[in-house]
Amino acid sequence: MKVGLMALSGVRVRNEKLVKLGVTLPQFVSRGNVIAQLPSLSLLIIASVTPNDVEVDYVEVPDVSQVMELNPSYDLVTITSYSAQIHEAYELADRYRKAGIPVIIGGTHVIAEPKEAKGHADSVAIGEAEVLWPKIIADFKDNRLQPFYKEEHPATYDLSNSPIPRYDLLATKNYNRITVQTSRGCPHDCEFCAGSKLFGQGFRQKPVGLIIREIEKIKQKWPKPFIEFADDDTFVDKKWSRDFLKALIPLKVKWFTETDISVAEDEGLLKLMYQSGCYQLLIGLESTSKDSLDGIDTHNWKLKQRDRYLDAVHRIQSNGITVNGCFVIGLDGDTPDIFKDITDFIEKSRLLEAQVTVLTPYPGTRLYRRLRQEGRLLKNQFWDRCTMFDLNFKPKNMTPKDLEEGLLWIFGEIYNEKEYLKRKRHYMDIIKTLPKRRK
Amino acid sequence: MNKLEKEIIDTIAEESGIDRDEIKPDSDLYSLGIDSLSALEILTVLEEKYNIMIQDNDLKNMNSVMEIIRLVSSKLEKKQS
Repeated sequence: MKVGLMALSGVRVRNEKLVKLGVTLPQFVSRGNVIAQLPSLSLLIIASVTPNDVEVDYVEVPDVSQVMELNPSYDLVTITSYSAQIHEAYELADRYRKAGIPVIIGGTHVIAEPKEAKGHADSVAIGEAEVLWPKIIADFKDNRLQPFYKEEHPATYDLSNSPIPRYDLLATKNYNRITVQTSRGCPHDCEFCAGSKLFGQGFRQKPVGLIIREIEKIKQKWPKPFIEFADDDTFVDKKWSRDFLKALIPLKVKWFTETDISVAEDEGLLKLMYQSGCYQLLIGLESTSKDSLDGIDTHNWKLKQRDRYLDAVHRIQSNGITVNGCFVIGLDGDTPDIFKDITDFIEKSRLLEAQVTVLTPYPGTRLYRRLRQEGRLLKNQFWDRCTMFDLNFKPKNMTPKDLEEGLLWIFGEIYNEKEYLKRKRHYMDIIKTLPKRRK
Repeated sequence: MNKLEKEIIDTIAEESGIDRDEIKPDSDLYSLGIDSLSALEILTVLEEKYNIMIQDNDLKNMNSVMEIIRLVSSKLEKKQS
């Protein structure tokens, strides 16, 4: 028996003006390329919980229109996709089913829209692979595949039981960054967040020893790997964080992760991060405006951090760790002034990298439900426009035109080569002042 | 390969942890597994080693070993003239 594991990969942008502008902006393109080249961790996990007597084939599909021939050797196909590529995933699923090969579909989008997904698949997986996949495979073998497989108690799977993802399935030369997950979930309940909420509330972490074993496995294939921790917020528990970083130092890897701004308060932790090979932290600053941050998360945690942003970015970057600061445009508190405010902050803080995206009401989020209730969604089933660069709702304090023009303006300001080179030079000046990393 | 080229390749090997024999003058940094931030670390070391000043604009298109060699070489020439 053979299963084709397929992920719709790559970044999508529908706004033509942005596509045209984007190709001329080096920093915009570089992060997009990195994301496009990351392996699909969920498929590698599915492969790791597949029984040994089942052969698996790992396939990334960057463009479904380029899939000319289906693989007739598969007995079963499973497809995972984000919202932006879901129509492409459905198209691929329809083609396999038409060829008589059953299809299972999973991922964040179908958790929010299972009935829609069922129209294109034999079964829909609503939950985590470790819990659902063994049952799906067993049922398939017994010829009793169910229409829906739903995790009974979401977000309760004990990550200390996580299998090591099947990194051996990846072609060594195709990947410069390898994804490793240390945790699932996030303690900050942001209204717009899809990824860390759709799989259930709560924050779970893997034991340090298990993560180290995963990285050692990766090093067997890529001796000098760049690890991208596929987390929503890695350094929530500071005690765990210190233990983890100390264990990471001897492995001599380079790494990147996403976390929150609270790491800036712990100088010892920042030093351990630098020593253990951290090159960049991606941090959701979300906005420079207090009105816009108000209400973003249940406890207004991000609003309370706002006045410390400048100092926090300086502290982190002074420790040789670059910050990729993320900002969201279109929050209810945003007025047309927000574009200039964010640009000024990026310049003043000397963030090495910045990511500015449009507020996106992903299906299944609190934001989606609220905007729908308020009648502010621009159209129904706008999934292919859930790119984080396309506008799908009526902003509160500006027109859609203001927002789209402002976005083009801010991209031109922050992603132009001159500014990027200035920030790179600043990073060189910082690392001159620091002890050398262990290579 | 001249003395300067050898020295620069030695520095790249030492800083990146990549085998010296894998690094050729025409090697692409990305293919070697050297990302843009690691490349900046290498340039910082070279700047200090040769006592040269790399400007913002010099960091443009720094994608291959040869481009690093050319940059350092031109900075040294300017320094000597």
